[in-house]
Amino acid sequence: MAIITRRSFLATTAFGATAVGLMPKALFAQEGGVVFGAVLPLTGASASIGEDQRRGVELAVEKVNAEGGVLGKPLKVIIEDSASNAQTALNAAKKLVSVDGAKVVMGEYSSGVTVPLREALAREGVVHVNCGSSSVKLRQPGGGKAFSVIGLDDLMARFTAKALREKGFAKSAVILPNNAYGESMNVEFAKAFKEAGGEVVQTLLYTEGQSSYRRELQQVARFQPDVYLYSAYGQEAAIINREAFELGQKQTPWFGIYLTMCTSDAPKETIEGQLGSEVNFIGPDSAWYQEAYTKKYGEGFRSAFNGYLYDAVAMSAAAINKANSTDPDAVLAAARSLEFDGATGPIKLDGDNERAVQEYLRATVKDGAVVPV
Amino acid sequence: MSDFLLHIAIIAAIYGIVSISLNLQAGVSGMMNFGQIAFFGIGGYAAAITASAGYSALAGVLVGVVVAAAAGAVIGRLGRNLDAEYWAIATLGIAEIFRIVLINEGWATGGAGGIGSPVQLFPMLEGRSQLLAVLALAVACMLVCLAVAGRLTERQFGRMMRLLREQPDLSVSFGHDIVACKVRAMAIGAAIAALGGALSTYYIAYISPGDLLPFGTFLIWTMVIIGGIGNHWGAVLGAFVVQFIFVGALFLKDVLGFPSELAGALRMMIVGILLLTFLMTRPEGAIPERLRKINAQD
Amino acid sequence: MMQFLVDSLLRAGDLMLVTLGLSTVYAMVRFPNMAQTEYATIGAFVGLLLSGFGMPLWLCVVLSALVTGIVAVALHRFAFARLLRSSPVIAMIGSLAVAMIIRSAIQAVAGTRSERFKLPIDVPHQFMGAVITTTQIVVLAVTALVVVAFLLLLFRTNLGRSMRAVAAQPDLARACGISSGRVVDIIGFLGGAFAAIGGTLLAIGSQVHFNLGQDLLLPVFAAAIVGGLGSPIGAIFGVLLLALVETLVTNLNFGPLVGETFLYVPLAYGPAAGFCLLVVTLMFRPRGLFHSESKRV
Repeated sequence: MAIITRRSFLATTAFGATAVGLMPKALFAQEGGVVFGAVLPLTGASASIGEDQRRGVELAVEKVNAEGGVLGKPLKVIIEDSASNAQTALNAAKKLVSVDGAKVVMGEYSSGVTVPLREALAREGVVHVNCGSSSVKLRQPGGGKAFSVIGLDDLMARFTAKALREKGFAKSAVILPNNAYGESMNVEFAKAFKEAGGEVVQTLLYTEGQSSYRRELQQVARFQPDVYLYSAYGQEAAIINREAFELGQKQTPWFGIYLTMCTSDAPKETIEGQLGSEVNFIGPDSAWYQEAYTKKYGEGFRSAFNGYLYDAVAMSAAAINKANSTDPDAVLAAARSLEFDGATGPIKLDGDNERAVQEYLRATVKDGAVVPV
Repeated sequence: MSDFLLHIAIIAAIYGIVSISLNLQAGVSGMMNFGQIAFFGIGGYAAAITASAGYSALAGVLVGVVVAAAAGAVIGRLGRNLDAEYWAIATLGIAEIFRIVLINEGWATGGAGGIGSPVQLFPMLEGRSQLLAVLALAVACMLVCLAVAGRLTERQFGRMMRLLREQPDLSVSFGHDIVACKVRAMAIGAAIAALGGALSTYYIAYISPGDLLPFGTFLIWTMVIIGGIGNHWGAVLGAFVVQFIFVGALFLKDVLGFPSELAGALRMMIVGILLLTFLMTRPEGAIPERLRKINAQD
Repeated sequence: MMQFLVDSLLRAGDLMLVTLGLSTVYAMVRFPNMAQTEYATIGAFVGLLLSGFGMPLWLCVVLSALVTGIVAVALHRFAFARLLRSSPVIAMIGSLAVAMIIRSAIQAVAGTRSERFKLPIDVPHQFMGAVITTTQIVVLAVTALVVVAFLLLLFRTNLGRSMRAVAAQPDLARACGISSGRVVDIIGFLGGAFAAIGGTLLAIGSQVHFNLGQDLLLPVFAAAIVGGLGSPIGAIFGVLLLALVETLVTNLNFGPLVGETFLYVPLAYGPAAGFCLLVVTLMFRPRGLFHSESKRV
């Protein structure tokens, strides 16, 4: 018995060693191609966002390779799981860079992971593309070795505040997730809405993963807002929409930031007539993109994040092709000079390598589907 | 490739430190602390906050260690009457309260997005030599913790703690001050965990509430159990084995050619299966605790 | 006021059956099974799968309870019983590994999308000033029915007496000729079945996804501990108390005290309420509210 247990112990540890030992050969086998890496939250609390991001990568790789690849060679994007955790994300990023030889690494969703990822990649001298974190705290002077295809929250907040004021809303309730995105959007929107002459009457930063938000929603309703501004995804978006409907709060208009994301999982009868802002339907490629997504995955956009990942991959490929080199500085210089038409609209970088312009679209839910207005 | 291995070794050494800290509390004195990640977090946040305020790494580590030790002592005292399972869930709850406070008090902690550390451990070095220096520091810290924990365990204090674990009533009848003993074990363990947290923050240059989920504590427990609960060298080995399993799963998914939509889930499954296999076939851990006769000192 | 009670009850309903299962199973096996809440996810997805085949709702609930109960017993025999031979701590860590395996298996099979039963969302009733839907009434009624049935089983049948005997004094019970293995199996089955019913009801009344079990873990454990691990009555009161406290925190308006219309505890601190209740309870009652050392069975 003792021997067997020792053997199984040895086997378990030996397994890891063999895996590490064998791998480099297998990985370098895809010779000749250009490798990017993506670190996405494939497990854990944000796994459904990670899945949507992954789809954007898949579509972009197909498109780039169909159009001749990168530097005339096929592009491969290796996707790793961050488990929504900085340390796991760094393990993955280090592996992508030093084992797989990734030239560009994109990621993540939460800024608590994106920032350490960016720092680590800067130290490695590898280009990082921010494709999922929009917290205004991410802006860094000069931009370092990174660039961003996602407009930071101040852009979206100003657009939304303006849209609400033009509809005549003055007292807004705000419902956002209690994470880095919600935190930053909350501050930016309150600022923008105040400048536009409105007032935020109550804020609900909800904790993700609850099975009900009834009580929180009722507290918000007591402040008698004339519009509910919200942003939610997946499970929480479905529950919040349903419970607000059941509590009779849908008599007041609802406005969703990233409307597709807010409504894609929600019961159809609870979202009819909702207003919102959207990004995925703008660029010249967007009709094609929307069709490709629906065809491949058999459903409409789950969120806006697939579009950002698509753009991250496609724009990185375009920058490398323009630079005719994978040298990080050359790639960054090329990215800065690009005026890229992506699935989320035209992308142009500012002096900090942040997305300088992002066009948003006003949208509404009609017969259960998000349509531009 | 070698940079990758260096990185893995640094993370494993940091976890080794945290694993020793839990082993001192759980393994030697039998306290089911399921909130260890919070002490790691205290160290990490102390590092990031002091660094943002312009203080050196040494100051950050000191602040973290002192605050964590104090918090550990308070929690040890509050929980003096609790049974193991209650103690486990209570500490889990306290760690969650701590995390919720971190998320909501953004003025000090950076909120849900976390906070960076502008201070680097070896700013004068670059690239591989920096990694090597960090690794040397982490391993040195780990060895010091190992020595401290070992000394504590070998002495009268360790005998008391083990007696406390095995025969609490007998321990009382010997006239040992159980509460003081628990409080000390908690405080020292917390301080060691905070050291690990601070090192991690300086190395990664960032810490966020997402790093302090209960899963983090579960992971530390897994290291202690796999290594051999009660044995400090075992705890260190456990940290390396777990890190190895995580990295192994990273490559195994490539070898097996998992489609990317399943890669994340299957990686977690591999980790789970390996842990379960380990627990079922070798529950005493890789290096079981050796109980020897120790002559009383003092 | 009525709305306050309804909200508390609805929250209690979400947690009740899973917590009851956890606490009852703990009484038998003496280790906190961290995989217990994953059974709720299994149950919910089995129920959803069956309803996809067009089965009536009640049959989905019954079958998912049956399947999950069997899974729970099998897992106990295969993994937890063996791990327990080493120690309860090993079993607890092992249950975490099992939870990881279950969660990732569900994610791999069912995907990351959140799901619910395809029932029409009904317009709510006004009931003495409170808002409640028919679905919610049915969900609460079924939950209450299961709880009452279980209490009757526990306190009015020989089987229940055996269960309580094994829980209180396993060795003595064996000496009296009670087959503790059989009792543990039955309770393990019920624990899995209750979790499955709870999970399926959540899928009916709200929404489920692969992370449900993980999301339920902390509130369920807090409620079970507050009530006293191993005590079914304690679990019921623990859940009710937790739901009341959580609801109170979102409803307490300190505004009038300071001359404002509204002043609430920040909603983001809401989830801390349950843990504070847990810590405060344990400071005064170290083994929860309903723990008593020896009792007559």
